[in-house]
Amino acid sequence: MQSWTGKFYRQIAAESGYDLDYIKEVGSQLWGALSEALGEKVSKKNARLVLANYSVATGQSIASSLQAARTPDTLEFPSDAVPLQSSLYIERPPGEERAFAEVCRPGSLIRIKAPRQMGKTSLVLRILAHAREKDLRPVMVNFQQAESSSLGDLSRFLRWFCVYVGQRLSLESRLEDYWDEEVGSKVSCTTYFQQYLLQNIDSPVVLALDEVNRIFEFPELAQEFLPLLRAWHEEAAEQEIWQKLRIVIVHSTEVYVPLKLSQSPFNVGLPLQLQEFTLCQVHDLAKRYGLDDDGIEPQDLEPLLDLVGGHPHLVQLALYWLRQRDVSPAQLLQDAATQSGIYRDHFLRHLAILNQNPELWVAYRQVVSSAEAVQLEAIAAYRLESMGLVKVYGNQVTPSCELYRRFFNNQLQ
Amino acid sequence: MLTYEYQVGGSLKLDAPSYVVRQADLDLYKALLAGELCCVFNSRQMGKSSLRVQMRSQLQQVGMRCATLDMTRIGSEQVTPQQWYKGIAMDLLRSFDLLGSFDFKTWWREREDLPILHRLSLLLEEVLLVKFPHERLFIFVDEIDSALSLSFPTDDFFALIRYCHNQRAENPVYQRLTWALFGVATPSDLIRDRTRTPFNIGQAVELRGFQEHEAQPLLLGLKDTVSNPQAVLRIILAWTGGQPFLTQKLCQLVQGLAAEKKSLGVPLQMPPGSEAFWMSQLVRSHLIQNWESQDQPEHLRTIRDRLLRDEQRAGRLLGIYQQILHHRPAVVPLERRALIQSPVPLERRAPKLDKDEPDTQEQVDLLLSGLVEKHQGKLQVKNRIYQEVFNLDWVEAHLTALRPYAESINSWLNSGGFDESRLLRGQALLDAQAWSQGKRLSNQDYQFFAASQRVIAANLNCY
Repeated sequence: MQSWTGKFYRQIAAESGYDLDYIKEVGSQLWGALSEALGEKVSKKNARLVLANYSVATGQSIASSLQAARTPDTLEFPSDAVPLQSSLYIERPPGEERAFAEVCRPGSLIRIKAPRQMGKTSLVLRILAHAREKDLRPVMVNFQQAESSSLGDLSRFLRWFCVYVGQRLSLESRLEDYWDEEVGSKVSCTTYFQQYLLQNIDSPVVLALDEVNRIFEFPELAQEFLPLLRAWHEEAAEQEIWQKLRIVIVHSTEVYVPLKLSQSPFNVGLPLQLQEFTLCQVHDLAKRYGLDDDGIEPQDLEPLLDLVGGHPHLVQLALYWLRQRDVSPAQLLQDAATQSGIYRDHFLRHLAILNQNPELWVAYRQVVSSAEAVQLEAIAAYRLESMGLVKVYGNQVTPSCELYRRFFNNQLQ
Repeated sequence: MLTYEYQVGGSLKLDAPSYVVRQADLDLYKALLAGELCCVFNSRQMGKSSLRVQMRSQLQQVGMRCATLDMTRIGSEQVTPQQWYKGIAMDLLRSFDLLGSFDFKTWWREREDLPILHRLSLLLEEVLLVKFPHERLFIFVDEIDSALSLSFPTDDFFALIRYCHNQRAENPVYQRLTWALFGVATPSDLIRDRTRTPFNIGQAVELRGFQEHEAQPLLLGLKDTVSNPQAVLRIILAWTGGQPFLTQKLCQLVQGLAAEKKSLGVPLQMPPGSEAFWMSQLVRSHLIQNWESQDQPEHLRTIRDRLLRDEQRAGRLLGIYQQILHHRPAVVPLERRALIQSPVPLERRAPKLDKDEPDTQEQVDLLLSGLVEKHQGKLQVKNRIYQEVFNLDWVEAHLTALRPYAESINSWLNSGGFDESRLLRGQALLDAQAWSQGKRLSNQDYQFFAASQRVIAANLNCY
């Protein structure tokens, strides 16, 4: 056990400098490599530990996950993306299948839009894993990790982007050979991709761009960079080498940056919207959590679902705690919308953000205190939507579930 | 098995089964082969870029060399003329796939003393035409309208295109170089000096909606879906007027709905004769109702924004559009002052628009928005879907939102212009006129102002 962990740490060390998402993405690859190196199949339990370990190693707090791994049931605590090998990943057809097919098509583009904690990253991890199986090169770029200073300047940003993608493809930076400020950074960046990066890889690359909504916060950059993605996608129709580039765009909020129709990547390619879990899917998940062993029947979950709808993360949290047998269904339900219930941490995170943004606070108070849908200023509506706090239909805004209405109606007064 | 797919938005891939060959395909191909400078100007989402992709491939198949210059990719708000022209040069080489075999940086640097446009023209003559000593070269310039948003005039670039075209007589090598320009623009937008523009010597290729006999490839995706594909296609075209985006979208909707039903084990029922009713339900529920939130990928919202984005002119655009909806001939705007002094009923004054009459800027804006098209010299709404989405209620709601005196003018109009109590007086009239300063409003607004002034003048005369 120790040696396995030690071995894994060495692997991580060898990979150091990579960000969390990248490590997540190669997680399964590592697992395979690990099994091979040890001549022994690594168990699910180990993979989980290993995942927890690298999270710690990269400074992410996931102590709860470690704790979960140590429980007799070895259940992972629902925090970030559902790990690749986890049995707790619920497919939401036909999303996966369509994405898997699309990513294998030359020059394809996939757009995944859903609020936070709806399962976007979990889906992307599976798309990338599928891509790897098909001998494509997966590359994950998370814009949440780009520095604000480089997001404020087009040239700096594009240079960073080129180097970053190059690193992931194990290609040394040759920016100086290709970059020419005299032709502008967009032409330089395109040239770098066409003449260098795409030229020097044998198999197509799947470029998954996570948290693209971060780019929206920098309108000047967004209006240059996003059209560039569209242009690359369209280039595949005319130049074969661009067929080697497949793009996955992931964003949590509506695109509120004005983009010209012909330049926007958001009206081409395959759009995927992650829906909430259906009743069937929740029952399926409850079974996978082993709740039927505890004598909890599907109908026992109904009052809970009335409260949280099919929100994947809220459902997962409830099932997790029920399975821990720390709390009875009745008790869980009774405390759910309070600070002493299982959603306490979840609520506090949202409250912290609302506290820092008085205009969101005011807007959300308006939403939760009204029995009817309300109209909000567009940006506030989009930001609340991206947090997962509201649903937006046209210009009508409602709380995304009854749980939020109850809790925040009390808290925001 | 690969399923037949429609494509809604973006340029269609080369092998897209739903590509519809139109008259324009034949016209453009013929003109290009003849070495004509071709212009394909139209509104958004009419299939310009898809046509370009097809042309390029067809020409390459017969051994010609092609490059595409996408103007959106070169320019940005902050770009300088130096960067722009060098960007064009570099992108040309990239598109002709010459970057690997040609030391562009050095070549460009060695000619630093020359004016930049001269360098670009040398690149064409001394590099491109020399690197390809025998082949014919075609350069497609797409999204040409984005050259308009640059902070410097780009006339020189277009003059260079004209120059290349004119050079053919003196320098035969230029006969191997042919240009085609694509975009949402009118020639007058693109260049200020008529003697330098290539647009009045180029051959305009007209891009129309799909005709039924052209649209037959679209049947393939419907034939396993509905029992009477031909009838369904005909009804779809009746709704869309052959507008490519909407036509693809409706076909895709039918296909998707049928697949959904099939997965539930209930085949799509559409008895013969009920197709029109069935389609109208589909169009209303999936396109027209709540269109602003259903408009994915974006199409209708872009038309809306093109009408409303310039507050100074939105009133006038809406006014002209309102008349088109009323089936009145679009009027040539008269001087505002003249209107106020001589309020003549609209119908009597408005001349019929004939083919040769130049369009006003507002008419051009409406045409480029894609909302209307010219039919036998008259502007009319392009299709039934637009007619139902951008209907009279919609126009009135937006005119009301624009006008601070909306309530008064609406009552006055509703009374047929008889209820003088609704006219503006005193400060209200002054406020309204102050608001109207610098704006281009609808004729109704000006008639309303004029009537208000007349009543005031008449009252003064009584005393």
